[in-house]
Amino acid sequence: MSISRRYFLKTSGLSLFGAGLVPSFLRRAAYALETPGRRKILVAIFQRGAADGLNIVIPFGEKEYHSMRPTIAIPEPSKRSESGPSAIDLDGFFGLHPSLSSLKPLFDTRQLAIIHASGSPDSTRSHFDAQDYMESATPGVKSTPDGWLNRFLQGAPEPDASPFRAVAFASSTPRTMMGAASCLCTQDLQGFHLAGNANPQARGVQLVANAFEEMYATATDRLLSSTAHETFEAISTLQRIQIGQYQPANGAEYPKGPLGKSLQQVAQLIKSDAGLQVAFAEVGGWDNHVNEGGVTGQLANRLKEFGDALAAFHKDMGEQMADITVLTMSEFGRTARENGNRGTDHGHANAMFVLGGPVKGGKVYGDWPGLKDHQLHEGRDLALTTDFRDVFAEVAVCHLGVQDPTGIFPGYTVSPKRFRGFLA
Amino acid sequence: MDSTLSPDLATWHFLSRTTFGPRPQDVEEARQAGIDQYLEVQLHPDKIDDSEVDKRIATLPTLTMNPAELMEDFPAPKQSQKQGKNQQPPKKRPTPPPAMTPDMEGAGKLMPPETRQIMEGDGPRQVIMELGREQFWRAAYSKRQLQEVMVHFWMNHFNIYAEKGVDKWLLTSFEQDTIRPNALGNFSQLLSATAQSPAMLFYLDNWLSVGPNADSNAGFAMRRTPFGFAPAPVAAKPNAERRGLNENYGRELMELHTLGVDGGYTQHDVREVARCFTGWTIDHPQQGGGFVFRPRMHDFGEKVVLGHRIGGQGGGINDGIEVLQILAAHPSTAHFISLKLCRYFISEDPPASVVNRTARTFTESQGDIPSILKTILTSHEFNSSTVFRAKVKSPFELVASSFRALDADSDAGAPLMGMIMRMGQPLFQYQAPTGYPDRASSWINSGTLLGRMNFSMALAANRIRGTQLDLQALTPSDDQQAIWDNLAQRTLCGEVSADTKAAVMKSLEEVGNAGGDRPGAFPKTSLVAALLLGSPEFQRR
Repeated sequence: MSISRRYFLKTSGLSLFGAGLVPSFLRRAAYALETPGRRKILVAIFQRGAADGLNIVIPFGEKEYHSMRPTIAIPEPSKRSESGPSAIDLDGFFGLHPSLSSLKPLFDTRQLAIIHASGSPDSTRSHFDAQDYMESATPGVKSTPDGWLNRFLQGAPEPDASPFRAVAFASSTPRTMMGAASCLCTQDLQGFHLAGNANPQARGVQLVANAFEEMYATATDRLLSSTAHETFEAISTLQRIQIGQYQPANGAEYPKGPLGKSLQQVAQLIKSDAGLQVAFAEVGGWDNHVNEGGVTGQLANRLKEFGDALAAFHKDMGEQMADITVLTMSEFGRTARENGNRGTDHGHANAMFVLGGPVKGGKVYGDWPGLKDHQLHEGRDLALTTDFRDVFAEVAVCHLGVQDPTGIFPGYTVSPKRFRGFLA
Repeated sequence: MDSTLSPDLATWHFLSRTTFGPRPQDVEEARQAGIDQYLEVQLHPDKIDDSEVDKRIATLPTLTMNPAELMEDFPAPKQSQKQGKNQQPPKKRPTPPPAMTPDMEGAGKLMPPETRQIMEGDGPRQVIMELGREQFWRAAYSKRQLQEVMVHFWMNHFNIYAEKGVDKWLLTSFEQDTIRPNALGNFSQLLSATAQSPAMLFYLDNWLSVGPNADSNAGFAMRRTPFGFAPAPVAAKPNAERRGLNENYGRELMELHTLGVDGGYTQHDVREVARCFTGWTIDHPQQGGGFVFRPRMHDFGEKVVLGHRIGGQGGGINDGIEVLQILAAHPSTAHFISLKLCRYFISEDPPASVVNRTARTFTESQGDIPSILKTILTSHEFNSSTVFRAKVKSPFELVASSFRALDADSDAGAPLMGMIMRMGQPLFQYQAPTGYPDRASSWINSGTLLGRMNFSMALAANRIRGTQLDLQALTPSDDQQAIWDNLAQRTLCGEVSADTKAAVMKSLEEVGNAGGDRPGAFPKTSLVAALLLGSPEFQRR
């Protein structure tokens, strides 16, 4: 990663995206700099339900923070010795929630970056609308037919792509991955087999499976025949890599729960060279209107699983993390002040995590808008200083190597000037 | 080669498009009456006795409750917490017999987080579950098949996401009171009904929309309610930013419901339409109230919509009504709706000739849906071998047509609905107002195709809880040729490719060689049924 494409183009002094503005010899040169054969991988994680960014990455340096959250504030690091767990100091102003202690070493080794006060410029406080806008990456526009990661896949078509090029761990294809490009959606790859609710080893089941494979292989119906080919290829790959039997490397231990399981299967797919490029996982339980808790409690429990899952994935992947970026997001943040039920209500800006080898970590990125009354969005929420599309676009351009991201972000003018620079 | 279908295949083709799948008795009925007469009957659903399926549906208590009653009896667990109320058991209205109780075991982990929230506890999950059951039962067993096909078409055209706020309590009424009575009626009336439905007003935010020049503007602020933000007459606050014009409905009304994205409107028109609809809101949304026009929220200024002057003196609720009339009569609407209907009934990219003729009928009949359907269904473009099995079935259509072909029965509970979801069509769960795309490529991918094959196997082997297939009745004799003939006729009118047949016959041989019909093995009938339902041919209609 000595000279990145981005660095090269930046120093060439040319605008990156104007159609036709970049001479083709430069574009080819930029491509050539990418190490061939080593695929960059993105793992996107959606925290559904609006995670409380202010108690995840705590601005303990703000006086207002503590007074606004009398029962749920996380104590500042200096008070650690006297009063038990407290925020884990990152830079003298921000601290991690103590449940995220497993992520601190990754911040210290510059593998983890945080973009605070980021999110959607649309001020809706509806989970549905905000998730929709973030997943389609078109704030304010509901009728966008596809998701932003699917548009990335569409823009970089691979005729002979592996059925595992794009995998979503969800019960039905999430909005982020919806669209014309093929995406394998499953809750658990262990369940990805042909059995019809019966024992997959049963002889009758095997007979039916073989017959399906035969009749689809020769079918004149091209759409169904080629898709079935993918399906059976996926099934046999999963059998080959023994998806049910996996020993994480480096002593990594994934936490119990769906996120840990999803990330473990992502790790297994990557290690077995199954052709994964984009993975999507989701985790719920962040909508804490009542009894959110502080250093312990509901949010603390969710964060423990969340942080431990990310850390386990990082540890498990080891050196392969050099080609992987993990990006986390949540539809909006929560009110700066706690409510009357020791919880928080729907707010505005939030904190996003970026983890991996390509990340210039060890830093909380973004402009801090402050928490004084006049600095708050609508007098109540953390204001926005980074549009989530600029974060997505930086990942698309600097990590996934997208030349022209305009197709991924319709109606938005992507400008590298607004990139926060968290990718090397 | 464009050629006319043989009479038998023409009947089959017609039934496979205008019903949720031909049953042997439908084929017989249509053959005897003739397609034209059969269509004529289907276009007048009120004249068809449907008491049998109505009896089933009478076992679903929520179907006869209004939104206010649903909200009262099926509150969201979280919301009663937030209000700090003690949770009291809901007042019991007639409960369904035990066999009809949703079987939720194991279904929770299959649901997306938001759905799971709804599916757990005594909350509104039962409301949405029962609406899904009603839809499935009608699709599988109603005699008013064309009406039911059109209910699905319009529900998708005017799509609403059940998980958005109070919509989970409003969707039942939307389906029953807004869509179904108009599904074979007049497009203009259907459009007006959706415009005034609380479900749509909420889904596309119009209930919040306040005119920038409304005289009451200073008197409205958004008040937090358990359901989101409601306009409430409170002292003006400078920070209440959500007060004001909301363009969502205005935009989607033109882009998705009427003109189509290239229908010739501008962003200026979107804004002007939104101004016309200010004040179209919901009376006490948190208590399940109906449509109400609130003059205090309305922008009484003059607007120009697609060149028409609207409002000013004498304006008010009529501004919105006028917009709906303009849009319903617009040539772009005639074309856009005709295109979508032809895409649904004929092929993904239907010939321009038939779309244009349909649009002409749309305009001449002023949106009379039966006339429009007749134009499509009697066209030579429809009755052509080039479009035989041109459409991939949606998962819902696949399941319903399997049931109809093999005469299966089901409580339409969570195990069956979960399979439809895993094939890519969770009912009432499509987030965007576009509705599910009517394209084969959006239904078929490696995971959903696997789901289709798994469904076929599970149904044929009687391994879906709450669902029964009478294998005995489907087995005329032990002769495998007889089993094949019977099932191939029922599922595919006997029109099966040589490859599919060869694969089925080969596996039958293998079963036979191993003495496969002993107890516990896949019986021959199950084997053939699984392979036919999961075949490439049966994925299409």
